[in-house]
Amino acid sequence: MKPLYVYSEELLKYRFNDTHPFNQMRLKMTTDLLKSAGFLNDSDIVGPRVATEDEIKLVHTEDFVEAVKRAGHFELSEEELINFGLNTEDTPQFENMHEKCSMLVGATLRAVDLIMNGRAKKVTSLAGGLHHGFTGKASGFCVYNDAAIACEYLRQKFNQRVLYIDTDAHHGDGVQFTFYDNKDIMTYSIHETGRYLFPGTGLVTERGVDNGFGFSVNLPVDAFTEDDSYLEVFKESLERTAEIFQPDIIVSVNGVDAHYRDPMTHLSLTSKSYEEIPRFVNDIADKYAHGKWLALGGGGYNIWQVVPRSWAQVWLAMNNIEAPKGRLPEEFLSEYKPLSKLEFPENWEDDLSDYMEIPRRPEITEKNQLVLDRILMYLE
Amino acid sequence: MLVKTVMTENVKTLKETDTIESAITMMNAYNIRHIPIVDDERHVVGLVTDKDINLALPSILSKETNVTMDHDLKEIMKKNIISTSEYDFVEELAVDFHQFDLGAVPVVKNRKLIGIVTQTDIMSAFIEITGMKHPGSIIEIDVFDKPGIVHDIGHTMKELNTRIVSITIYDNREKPNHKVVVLKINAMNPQRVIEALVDKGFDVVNPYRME
Repeated sequence: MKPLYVYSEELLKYRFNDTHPFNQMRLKMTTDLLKSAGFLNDSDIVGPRVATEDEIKLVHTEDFVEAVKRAGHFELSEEELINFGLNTEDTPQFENMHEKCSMLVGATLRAVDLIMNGRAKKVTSLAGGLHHGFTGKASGFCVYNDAAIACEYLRQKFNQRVLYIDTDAHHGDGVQFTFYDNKDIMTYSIHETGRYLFPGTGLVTERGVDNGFGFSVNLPVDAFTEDDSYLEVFKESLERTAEIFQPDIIVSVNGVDAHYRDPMTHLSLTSKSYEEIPRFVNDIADKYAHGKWLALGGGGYNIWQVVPRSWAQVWLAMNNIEAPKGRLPEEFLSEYKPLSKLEFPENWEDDLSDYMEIPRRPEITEKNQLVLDRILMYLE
Repeated sequence: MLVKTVMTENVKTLKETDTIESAITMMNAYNIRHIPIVDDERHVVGLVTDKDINLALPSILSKETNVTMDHDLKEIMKKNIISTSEYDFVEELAVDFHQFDLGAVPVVKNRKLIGIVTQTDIMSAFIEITGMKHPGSIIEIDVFDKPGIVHDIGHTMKELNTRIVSITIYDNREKPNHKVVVLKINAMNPQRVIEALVDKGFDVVNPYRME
């Protein structure tokens, strides 16, 4: 059964303001790249739907949803804006935000529907992955948490046990804490240590509470972690998690902000990791989750040099296509290269001309291994 | 921060005539390590810890197998207990914990037991003060300790519409008269704030400087 791809230009409207680093232009760029390379056809693409209010309330509180609706018409007082996290530079109110956010959640739920109605076993829907949204508060560029809503929708409506895999450089706090006491949704997040980086949670000791104890896994890696160490600890810990949990389906958030050229984090991954991560998740889905996999987007703030090539790998992995090498399609280059203020990559793989060797590599590798050891101990 | 905000109410207690066995059962059942011993008026007359019990029982390495656990707690409990009141400061109580190596302190009102503060509660207070549970990015600033520093930092935050989640200040041990200000800010992208602070002459400690 062929994988499907959820996309429409309507989804580009999730935009806080012109200077905000969260820029969904990257969705269009990724889609254009895949199409011009011949990897994505119109017949693979399905449009989003709009999530209903009831669906959003599967995770979010009634008063928060009301607040977002009113914020979209600039009707909230300053105190209300503060209470709901809508007055910050991260998640400021914007016009019709409820409608635009519902469309984004709807894209993710459309993807779930396609899988559960048997139209595809694997779906890519890169508009979503807004993993920082809390049940009653916007946070970290995220208003409604489509990833959490998808997990709860799968659980309630389809009785699925979901393995949530989050490889964004930031801890998937909103999803984790939504299901912190739940044993049917297992959350796995690998991220840069929160010592300095937002949101600061995601300690290895965060393992869930009550019924959900043991169903949250956190792997904080050291700043400047490179491909080899990252892939080693990621693969071993994830495989063990999947083996123990035996999920019905996988939902993944594929932030690509752990790349060394991402401006917001301090990790040092290259295109090598972004070729391997989704291919490994694909294997895990085949081996442990009946081949069912919903892949979402997430962070990624270098939209010119990093995001399109890295996100394209998610779709390619799903289709069992080997990572392409060499020159990017001319059509894509001629459209976007002139628009880029940064040096625009011309090949699928990173050229690494500006990659700096990390002097502390042995220490970082060792620290990451210690964290891995602890996770494996917990998973025993 | 008041003791009232961190203490545990509904404390499990025993009488001095209860047995060691009952204390062991209670500790296991509630996963606790300290039991205040009270009289009929709930006056604290002693405290039994898991350590007191371990010291009273024969070692698993000894040959003695005939263990009796029906001794009164009176025989093993600590007397002369340091206690506190709900309106004392956690900051001050922390000094007691530190100085006297305490595990737990009963909280009394009109000389009657109303709560208990343990080392774990003190650590929880520390975690709360440092803002660990709220999302945010962390910035460290090295400052010469002169008047108006917090004002200047706060002013910058206001200009950038960025909320401070927590602020802690401690001595910079390597530089006399310098302090380290640790800010947790409610922003996913701290770069704007860092740039603004650097522009104003602040020494933002970059932990990830590549050298």
